[in-house]
Amino acid sequence: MQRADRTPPRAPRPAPASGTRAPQPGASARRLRLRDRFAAGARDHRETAARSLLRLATAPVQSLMTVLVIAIALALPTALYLVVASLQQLAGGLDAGNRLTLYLRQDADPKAIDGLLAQLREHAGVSAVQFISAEQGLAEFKASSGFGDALDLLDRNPLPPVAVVTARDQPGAAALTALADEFAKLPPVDEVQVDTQWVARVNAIAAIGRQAALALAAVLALGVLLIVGNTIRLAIENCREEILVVKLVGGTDAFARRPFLYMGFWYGLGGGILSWIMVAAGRWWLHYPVDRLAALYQSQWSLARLGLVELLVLAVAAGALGTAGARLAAGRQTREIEP
Amino acid sequence: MIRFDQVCKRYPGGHDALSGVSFALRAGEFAFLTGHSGAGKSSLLRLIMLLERPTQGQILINGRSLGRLHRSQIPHYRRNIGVVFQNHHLLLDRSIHDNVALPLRVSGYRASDVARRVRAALDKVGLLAREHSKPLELSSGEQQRVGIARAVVHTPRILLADEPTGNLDPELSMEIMKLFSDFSDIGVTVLIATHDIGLIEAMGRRQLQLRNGRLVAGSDADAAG
Repeated sequence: MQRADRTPPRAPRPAPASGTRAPQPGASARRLRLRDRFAAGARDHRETAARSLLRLATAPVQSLMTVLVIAIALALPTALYLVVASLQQLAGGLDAGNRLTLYLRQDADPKAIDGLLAQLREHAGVSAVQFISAEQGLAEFKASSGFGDALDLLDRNPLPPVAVVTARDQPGAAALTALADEFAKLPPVDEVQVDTQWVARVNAIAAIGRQAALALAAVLALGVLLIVGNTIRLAIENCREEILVVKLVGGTDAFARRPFLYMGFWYGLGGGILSWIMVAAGRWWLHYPVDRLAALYQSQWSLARLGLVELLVLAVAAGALGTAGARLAAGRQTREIEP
Repeated sequence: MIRFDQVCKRYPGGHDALSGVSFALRAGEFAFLTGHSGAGKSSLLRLIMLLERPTQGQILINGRSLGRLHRSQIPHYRRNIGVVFQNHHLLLDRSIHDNVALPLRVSGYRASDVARRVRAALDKVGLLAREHSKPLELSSGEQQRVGIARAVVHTPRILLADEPTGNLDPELSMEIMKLFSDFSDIGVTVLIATHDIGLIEAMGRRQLQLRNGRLVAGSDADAAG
């Protein structure tokens, strides 16, 4: 205070004095070690994430509504995915179709049939051959169909002798069809039936379902982006002052928008987890009647389960979607709010 | 440290907030910026903070022209400046501690450094005991002091203040001025916009006087820069 700065001659102070004593915050900030900066950054992310979560908790009803909307949007494609997965399971269970049914000519010579059976048993692609003569077939049919009396009225056995061929391993539909074509050329064989066709149909339906689920997921993901984006836009409007202050003290755009990205992340994560719970609850609600229906068909088939992997996928994807939606909204807006 | 060279600022609509302003402040210099309201004090401070760009002329800070600073460099530039705002600009949903810590957090200081510096800054303004209060639990004068603590917590090279003592009683005003003066003694360049004639006279420091956007007194110390 004794210095009179208004008197020009005394004004230039010795450089060393100010040079050594002046605090150099810019320089010291730069001198912060990289590891410390990372540690500080990580701590800041943790604090920001926690604060964003707390902020959502201060308006629980509103936050819950947003999370619910996101959850419903995500639950639709997830449910469709579950249906498709169940269909594929159904088709997969039947894909054990490694059997060919060879209907032989009714007039085939027993010797020719024996020769055919021997030939089939030696075939490299065949693991087992079961022969059902016309008489055996008729007896079985009488026993199982309940048409016994009616069949007695027939003057001759209408059933052909049958050779049931089990292919080696699981050859797949194409190889099985090739095998069928090969056997169809053998003389005593009248017709070969491959039971792959309706498996193919179920698979085709599942493929359509999968495509539809993907399209629905894409559309609804866009919806989630917009929902989160709009919510974040409002949140930013309410936090104008905070962004201004952060920028006034030297915060970057990235620093200013970080709390909002976390807010979007939490919205997405909450929505993802809730959608999993919704679909899991729906599955639980449906699986008794479905199991009963399957039991009527003597099938072990049941609705596909929504597991922890699906939970993880949903949570991560929804969290990423929420963050992306927030980024879209916050990017321009935080840039435009200038002190 | 701060040099204005024929700086003009014209706002859309043709109002000249500043015209032909030239002056220089050395590192560690302490000066008052005076003038009637509307004379251009706030505009001048806003130009230094890069909240606005001059229409004409150039501003050199620490020998570097602000006109050359890219938008992305502005945050880093602002970290070298501490500002005390007339209307406090405190975040009402955060504690006093968190408010004061903000400049350190945006710069990525270590947690231990943050705590130490915040407590030191609050101690200087006599508010250490209120560390965990929220701004609205404090009186206007106390809020002003929180703003001052936030402006000095990262020991900036330049300290700007817009009516920093507007809500303080004379005794406290004097103490705050003493605090600013201490900062200038360790090399911080201090520029304070104020109406408080009594205070200016008591301090006896250089005075930059603005009238209708022109510097009418104080620029003669230019040779010093």
